[in-house]
Amino acid sequence: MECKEFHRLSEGVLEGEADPRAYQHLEACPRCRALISDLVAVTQAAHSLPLYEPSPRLWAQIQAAAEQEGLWSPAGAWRWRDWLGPASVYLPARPAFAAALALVLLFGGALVGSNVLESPQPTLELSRIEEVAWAELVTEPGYGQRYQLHLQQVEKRVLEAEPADGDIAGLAAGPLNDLDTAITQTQSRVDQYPEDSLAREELNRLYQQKATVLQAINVPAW
Amino acid sequence: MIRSLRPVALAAATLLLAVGAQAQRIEKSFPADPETLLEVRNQVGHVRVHGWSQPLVKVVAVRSSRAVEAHLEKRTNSVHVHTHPLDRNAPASERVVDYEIWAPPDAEISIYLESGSVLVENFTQDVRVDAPAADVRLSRLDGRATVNTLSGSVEVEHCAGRLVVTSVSGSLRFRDNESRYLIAGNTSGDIFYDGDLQRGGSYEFRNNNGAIELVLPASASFELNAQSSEGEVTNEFPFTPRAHGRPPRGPYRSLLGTVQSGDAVVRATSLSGRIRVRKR
Repeated sequence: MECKEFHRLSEGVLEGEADPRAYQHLEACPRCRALISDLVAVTQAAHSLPLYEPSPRLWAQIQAAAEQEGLWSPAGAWRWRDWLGPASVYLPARPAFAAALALVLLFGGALVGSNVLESPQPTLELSRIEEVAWAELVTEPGYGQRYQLHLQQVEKRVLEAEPADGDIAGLAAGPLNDLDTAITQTQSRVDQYPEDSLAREELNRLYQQKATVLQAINVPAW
Repeated sequence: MIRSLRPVALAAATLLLAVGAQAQRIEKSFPADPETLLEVRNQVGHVRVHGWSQPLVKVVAVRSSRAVEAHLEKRTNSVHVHTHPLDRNAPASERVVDYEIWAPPDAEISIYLESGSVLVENFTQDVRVDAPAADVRLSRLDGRATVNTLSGSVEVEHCAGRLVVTSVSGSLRFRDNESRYLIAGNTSGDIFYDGDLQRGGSYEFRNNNGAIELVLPASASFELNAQSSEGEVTNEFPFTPRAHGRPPRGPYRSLLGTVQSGDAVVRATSLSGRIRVRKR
């Protein structure tokens, strides 16, 4: 199976209901595998981004879980700052926040373009905590840049690949341009006024919308 | 002799053309199951779907050329109306298929159309339209309606069910609806709402840099939460300001308060677009 044919079947692949040959191709083709992986990661993460204030009790659970797994300890919190490099400038003073961010980077390295996943992933049953961590990441200044970086990688792959339907790629070009303009302006607003929660929320919405558009180009319903 | 044959040849040619034209049109009817799913997949053209009182799904398809074919099929609890490309390299003008469809009002509708226009009217169950660059018009729907476009504009009127409408750059217009739940979001298009609000209803409008304009009757009763980071926010209704539960962070314009007894909730947010709440 050629990549082009695979792209036509990729919607079924995403839903787990594709021709068996598509899965054979997926195993053999790292490019298509990376593309599917990215799209799954971006869309799932984008859809699982809740916006709510976690309770202090939940934060305590996050911290306890992180300490239990050796991911964070109050005494060793400074190590995250060294290890995270430039991202550490965004780490706030609140220790639980730092622990949550560390969890996010471990769970979500694929999304934010980090290579943290090269180290073994902890086996935490923390789906709710992960959700909370994602939520906090939305309000964290470095989030936008990292998400955008990853989306740029996905976009590059999508646009480089021959689309299954050239028309939809053409039709999406204008809206994608509008989205990029809006993202740039909103990011600029966030950079200028880091406390503007409305702009942050909007930035997150734009990223979700862009991920959806990219998926539509790659997996048209037509 | 040749001269005498000319009328015959002309008539034959006309007949052939007529037969050819006839071949571009397909009409089929299927018995409809209760709450049957009508699924339409088309690339270019106009799709018009009407609810009617007969227990039948009737489809009239007109294709512009032989570069495409209309495939109509009845399955268990569903009717599929799909356009199949026979020549993917044909120009868009040759890939046009127009569909006019009638179905029982309790049919569930799912439509995908890349460009052209969609009309759906007079249904009571769920309607979903994905139309990247097609304009969409919904009218008299009582069930849930979900519309997604990239650049296509959306018009919704006289609907009573839950409405979720999103677009990137298409404008969104809502007129005289009775829905109690509405989410309308786009990025660069305008959003226009003209109509009353239902008691207990929730209405959310969100865009990035387009205008949001809400035109409501003077008797409207609602909680208003309108915020724009950089755009103007205005309200014509007598208004009791309410303190923000959490003070807004960052310099943006905001109106938070109650109009009359606050029977519905209206939230309008924009990054740089203007928000206007006007009396009808």
